[in-house]
Parts: sequence; structure tokens; C-alpha cells
Amino acid sequence: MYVLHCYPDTASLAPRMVLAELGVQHRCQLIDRAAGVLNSPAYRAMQPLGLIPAMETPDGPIFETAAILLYLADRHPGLAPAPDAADRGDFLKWLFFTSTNVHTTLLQLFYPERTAGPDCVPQVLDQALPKMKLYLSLLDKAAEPNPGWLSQDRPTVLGYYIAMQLHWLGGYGAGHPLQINAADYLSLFKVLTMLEAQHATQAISDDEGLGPTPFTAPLA
Amino acid sequence: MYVLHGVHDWGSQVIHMALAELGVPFHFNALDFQAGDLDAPSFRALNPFGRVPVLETPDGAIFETAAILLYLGERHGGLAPKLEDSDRARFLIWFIFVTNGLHPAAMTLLHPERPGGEAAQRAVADETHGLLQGQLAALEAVAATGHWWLSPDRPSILSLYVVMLLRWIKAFPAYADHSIASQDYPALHRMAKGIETRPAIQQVLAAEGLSGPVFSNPDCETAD
Repeated sequence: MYVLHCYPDTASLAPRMVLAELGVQHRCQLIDRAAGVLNSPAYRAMQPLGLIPAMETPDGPIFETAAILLYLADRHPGLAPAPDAADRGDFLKWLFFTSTNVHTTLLQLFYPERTAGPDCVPQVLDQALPKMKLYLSLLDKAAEPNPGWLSQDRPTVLGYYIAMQLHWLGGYGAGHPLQINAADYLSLFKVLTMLEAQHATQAISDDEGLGPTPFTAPLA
Repeated sequence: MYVLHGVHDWGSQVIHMALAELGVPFHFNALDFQAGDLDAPSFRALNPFGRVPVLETPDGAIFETAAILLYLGERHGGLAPKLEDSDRARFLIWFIFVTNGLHPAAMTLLHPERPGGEAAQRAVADETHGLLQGQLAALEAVAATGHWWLSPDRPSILSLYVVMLLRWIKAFPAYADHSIASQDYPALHRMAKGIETRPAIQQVLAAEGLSGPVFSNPDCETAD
């Protein structure tokens, strides 16, 4: 049994949806942030940096969103190519592209002060936004042939990982200078539309208060 | 046969070392970035980004350092815990911590103008220098617990990756006062020494024109 330590609308979202999609036994342990759980010795023993998410497994605790997703995909086949599959290399390439480029740039957009302190926020945002749009267009192009690892027809771990990030990027609201609309990326938008129709997405979106269209039209 | 497209003493070095340690046949295609090789259409067809490394495999071209390393680890065994091993989860944590955290931070220490332009570069470098020390302390704590995949005795795709980054943050920061010595992290330092003296690694380093304590104590090459 897995225990995922969660907080609504944080990076626990994608692993949570993947756990629900896989239908494996798990429990979502709500993190009491107000009570300082992230800094507690018990949480730090599991996740030394005090970040969300962390997941308890039969093999001990695991963290880093991409690590959790890859671990689950390999333990419970169906949402990513198996290690001996011919398209495993392509899957890994775009999974790591997403985690090292898209996700890290996303953090610069949301926390620009962490990159260069409070005085250089506009400069960081100026660089990060076009970079993000370039990365998304490359991902969109990779999704165009409808590959099995980022299918437009059935859920994948990479699909959920990207959907979570487009959910956040689209949440600024129309007219906001940092707003990114998933609809601008046609193939990714098809993936998002399909994922949004999944029972797993709807159940968790409902539980976390994210509305009926968390990926294609997130609440501002 | 694998074809590794890379530049000497760049990020392709870790793939070069992994291939050599695996003992599989490969060809290293040395690119000349100053001659524009990274922008050549034939290279862009392999990686739309124009970045090294790229590994051509029987399954097509792979880019992203971590993706290539994990692929090699899975295809050949020996350099990473196997999927069914109980320490696979723990290994994955730190492998992805390095690729998502330490690697981008090291790149930013070397190129602080990238995240915010020239006006912000000193501030970016200062923040990154602090961030890196926290990341290295976390990694040092793991290395001190004696997992084989982060040890001096037997290389892994993770330890090879980390020692390359130790070289970068000592030798090439944009600002000389940001140079970080591996000696400050004893377990990581021992690992760097263990790896740089392995015969397969020494061959790779010689092929890339390097010698001496390349990882554990490289010369500072920062200009100022």
C-alpha cells in the first residue's frame, strides 16, 4: 500500500491522478502545512528538503515528482513503455525533457525570486516565458504523431505530468502577461481533453476543488 | 553500435564514461561548436534543441543526459539498480534530484546570464551558489551512508554524473569566488577520487584531452 503525502493543487496532483488511474491501493495523507508538518522531523526523514510530494512505498520513501511517476509506471505497467520496449528511449527522452526543462522553467515563472533574489524578478520572467513557450511547442510537436507514451487516446504518466503543469500555467487568467493557453498547443490539447474525461481526473479534481476542466480551462 | 555526439569536456562526458564502463562498442563523434556543428541541420534533426549529448541507438536518437543514462542503465545492467531491486526507489530519488536540481544549478553557476540576462547575472550566481551548497550537503549525506551507486568503489550512472558536475562547479564558475571544492564534501570527494583513477575513465579523459585530478581537484579555469 502506498501513502502519498499530498496538498491540494501542488505537485502531488500528478502522482495522485496516476495512482487513481492505476487503481492500486493507496492513501492520500493530507499535509498539515499550517501546523508546520513540512519542517517536522518525521517529514524531513522522508523528504529531507521538506518539499511536496513524498510517497511511502514498500521499498521506503520516494520523492521528486518524476521519480515517483517513473517508479509507479515501472511497478504497474500500462501507463508508459516497459523498459525493454522499443519506444522506451523516446519515452525517457521526453519525460526528462519535461522534468528538466519544462518543470524547472515553470518554477522560475512561479518563484522568480528564488532564481535571482527579489530585485531581478522582471528579468527572470522575461527570459523564462519565451523559454517555456519554446519547450511547450517542442513537446507539442513530439505529441503530434500520437505516440503511445503521450497518447491522445489513453492515459499515460507523461500525459498527467504535462497536464498538471498546463493546469498551473493556464491559471493566471485571460489577459495576464504570464497566461499560457493549452489550446495553443493542438496535440497537447487533445491529450488534455482525453485526460480530463477520465474518472481519475474528475474525482481528484473534484476533491481538490479544481473544477470540471482543470487542464483545458483551469479556474483563474 | 551506439554513436555518441558530443563535445570534449562538455555534458557528453558522463555518457562517454558510462559507455566506456559498460564496455559496449560505440563511436564518439566529436562536434566542433565553434564551427557551428550544433546548428547543422543534420544535428538538429537528432535534437531540435541543438544540445549535446545525443546518443544514436538501435531505437533511434535519444537526448537529455538523464534519459540517455537511464536508458543505458536499463539496457545493459551494472550501472544502476535493476527495476526489481529494493534500492531502485532510493536510487531514482537521487538520480532525478541530480538531473533536476544539481545539474541545472551547476549550469547556472557557469552561465548566470541565462536565467535573467546580464543585469541579473551576479544576483543569479549568488543565489545559485547558496542553492548548490544545500544540494551538495543533501547528496553528501546520501553518499556517506554507503550505497554502492554513490560510492568510490563501483561506478553508477549517478556517481559518474555527480563527479562531472563536481568538476564544473570547481573549475568553471562564472565568478571565481563561487568555485566549490569537493574537499568540502568528504564522501563525494572520495567518490570523485575513486572514479577518476579507474582505467576505463582514464581512457575517456585522455581521449577528451584531460588528465590529473579531473573530478576531485581540477584547476580553476575561471578567467577573472
